[in-house]
Amino acid sequence: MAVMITKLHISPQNLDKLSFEEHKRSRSLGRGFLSSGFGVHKKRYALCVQQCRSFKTKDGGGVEEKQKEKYEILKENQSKSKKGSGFWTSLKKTVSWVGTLPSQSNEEHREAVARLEEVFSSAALQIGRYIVTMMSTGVVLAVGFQLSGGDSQMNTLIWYSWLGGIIIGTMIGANMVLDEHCRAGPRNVVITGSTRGLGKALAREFLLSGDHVVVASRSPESVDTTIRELEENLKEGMITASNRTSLAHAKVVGIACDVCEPSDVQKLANFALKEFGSIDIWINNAGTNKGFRPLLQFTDEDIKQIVSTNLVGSILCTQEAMRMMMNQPKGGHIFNMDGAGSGGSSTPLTAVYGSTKCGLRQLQASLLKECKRSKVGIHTASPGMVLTDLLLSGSTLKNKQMFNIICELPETVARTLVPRMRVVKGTGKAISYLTPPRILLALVTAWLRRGRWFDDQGRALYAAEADRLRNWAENRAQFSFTDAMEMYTENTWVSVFSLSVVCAFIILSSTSSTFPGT
Amino acid sequence: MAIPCASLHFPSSSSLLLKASSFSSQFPPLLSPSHLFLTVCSRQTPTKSTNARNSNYTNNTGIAYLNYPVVVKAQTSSSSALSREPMLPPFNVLITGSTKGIGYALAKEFLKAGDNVIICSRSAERVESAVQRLREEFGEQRVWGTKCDVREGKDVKDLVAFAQESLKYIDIWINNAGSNAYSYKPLAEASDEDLIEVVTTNTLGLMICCREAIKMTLNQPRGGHIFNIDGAGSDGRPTPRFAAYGATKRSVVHLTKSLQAELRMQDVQNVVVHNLSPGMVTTDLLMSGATTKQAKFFINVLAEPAEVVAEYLVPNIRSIPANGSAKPTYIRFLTGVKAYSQIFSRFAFGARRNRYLLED
Repeated sequence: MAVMITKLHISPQNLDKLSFEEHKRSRSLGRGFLSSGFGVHKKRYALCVQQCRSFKTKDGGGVEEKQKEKYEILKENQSKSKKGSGFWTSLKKTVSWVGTLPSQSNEEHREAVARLEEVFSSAALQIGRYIVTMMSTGVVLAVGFQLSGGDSQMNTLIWYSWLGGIIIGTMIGANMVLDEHCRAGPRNVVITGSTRGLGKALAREFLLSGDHVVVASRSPESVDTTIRELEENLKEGMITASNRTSLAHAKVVGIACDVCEPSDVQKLANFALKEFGSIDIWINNAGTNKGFRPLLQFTDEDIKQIVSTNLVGSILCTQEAMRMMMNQPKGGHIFNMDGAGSGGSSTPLTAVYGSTKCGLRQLQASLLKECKRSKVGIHTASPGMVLTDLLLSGSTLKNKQMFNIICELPETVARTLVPRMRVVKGTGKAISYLTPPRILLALVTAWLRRGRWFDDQGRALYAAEADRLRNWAENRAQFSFTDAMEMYTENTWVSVFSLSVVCAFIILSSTSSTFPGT
Repeated sequence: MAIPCASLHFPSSSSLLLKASSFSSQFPPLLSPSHLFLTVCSRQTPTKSTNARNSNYTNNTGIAYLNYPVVVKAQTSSSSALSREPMLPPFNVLITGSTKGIGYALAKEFLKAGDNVIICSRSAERVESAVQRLREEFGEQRVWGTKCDVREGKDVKDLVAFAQESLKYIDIWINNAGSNAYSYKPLAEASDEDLIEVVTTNTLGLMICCREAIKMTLNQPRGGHIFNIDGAGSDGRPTPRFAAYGATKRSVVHLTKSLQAELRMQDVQNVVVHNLSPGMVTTDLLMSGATTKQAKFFINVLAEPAEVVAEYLVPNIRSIPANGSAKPTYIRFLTGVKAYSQIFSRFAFGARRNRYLLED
């Protein structure tokens, strides 16, 4: 029954992206067999991955009504189909039920039918998946019986462990799904310094995940152009993407804000509050570095700008965001961007930038203590090395050869960071792009990466932003396996652990039974 | 006037040193502590200045200098500006933010050791009164003071010009100016002005000072040593209730590290950047935060008055140029072992209970 409940929660998300479903179905099928008894859990795993790519919409009363309606239909269908009595009767019933709506027209009716079809096919998919899962656990069970060799005591043990596995898997899955469900819906995101580079890529990625985004930057003109550009991207995204309805409520607004001016920061927060009602995620992305050279060659103005943007700006923004989020019932999450020097290693030629970033890391630690009991989560996001002006402003030919190996385009990084930022929980999480496996991969394939971004003369080989985006929008719809793997490693570990516990139990009990004397 | 003055300040020819060491051995009474406070005019009377030096730091050190490879060129020729010279006491010391607290205590201690000191601070009156007090104790020509807001590039440049005018060169530059706006609150409750003041003073001010200090000492024949004072949070540990301060102090240590790497990259031998850790000092900055039970406990157990800290730090600082070492160091007053042993003795024997503040 627990499985059933979770299914009800999932289904609304499945409505809009059947193509996605198909893709994953085949995957979960294969996995179901591989992961023996825990097909149930694995299934949830696959589902949730897809869930953070697109959340169901929840905006305004009308939409909610529609949502509720969908639920009703769905529940009815599910309960009927579960009992196995008259799948088609339920169809008729629901159609007639939809037909009784006051504002009924021919077109609307057709639409409703189309929607129902989707509901049914997704329900069928769920049932199919359930069967596959049960079959795979059945296979494991059968293997267990084969191994036990007909010992009745062993058989009971295997039954118990099977049951235990099912329960644990269901509980984990249900927890994950319920959790996702509670926090579904578009996020309200504020990103400072988001008219260029990584900030812009993050804003775009959030927008294409169906969120409300506030862009902020020092100059009003660049804010305007960025908004226009992002809206353009959104339109294109709605045409190409498979999950169209989730983008329907995506929205981007912007305001000019100098992060080192307390009044500006306050204005930004109030603006976001006015536009969207609350702030769920605040990203302190604004950062600057005035080239790579010894400290002696930095002017007063340079140093002042770096310190005030990186350190003063981040502190003021964090403070404002904390104040705001403490008053929100749902709390919120604040992200500070890491940079070179965060870890404490020296950064010659960017001494000022490095030391501000290092200070921010310590700030993070202090804030974690201060916010221990509040609803505000303080996190860091480290993008690794990104091909933006900040990095390239002072790069030499030799540097560029190194960049070939380890650097990434801002869009790639944003694509990895954003889904994790959206589902972040608790406080004190570090979301980073350059994880050890990625570094290892980069080093192993270093030879292949030689001419990736720059050629021998240091000329850029990568496409300009506009071209990049076009290509990128196309392959966006594709599912990234590595991203999915990385996002849920924690839960995978839990399932692997519980599975191994069960296995160990079986093995231990079988060894004890071979020595009846003990 | 300027040229002879300068030459007087470089008593580094071996003959002079020989004379100096023999001089002090001829006058053993000079070694007595009462003479430490001799008000001497080091800039005008060479014999007296060597006196003062040797009276403080025994003729042992004087003899040690004889072994030192002495490369002295006439100060009159400007071409010698880049040739290296050994750094000999008395040192010229510049301390920022030194009208009160640890900065003032350091200045006093340097003066006691026979060095010349420039003090500065944001407020002209405080500088005035501090200079007054120090001059009364140590004499007219030992201590100078000027107003300087370290956050202003122009002020710092003026400070350098002032130092060059009054002392010609600086051997030891201590970046001490730091602020916590005397407020201990969670970040969400802190005021914007306080936060900006803390960050700009501790980080921006320090960076500008470091830049100017390196620029100045790089062109000095004697080179220079720059000391950055760290504080709570500089090891990366969290500092709740003064998050901004901790972050800035963490960035200080990192800046020092980066500058050391930068200077190494540029193959600079004569300028060294060091860290200096005074530990917990019972100054206004610390005491204004003594509102919680935990804070009171740690202040009582670990903190020391500024004078005690300065007494420990100054000889250590002075030994670095005296040894002629060019290795970056991190001088710590409150080392880990010391801190833990003090905490242990507090728990074991109740030592230092209610030392500065009443605990309940």
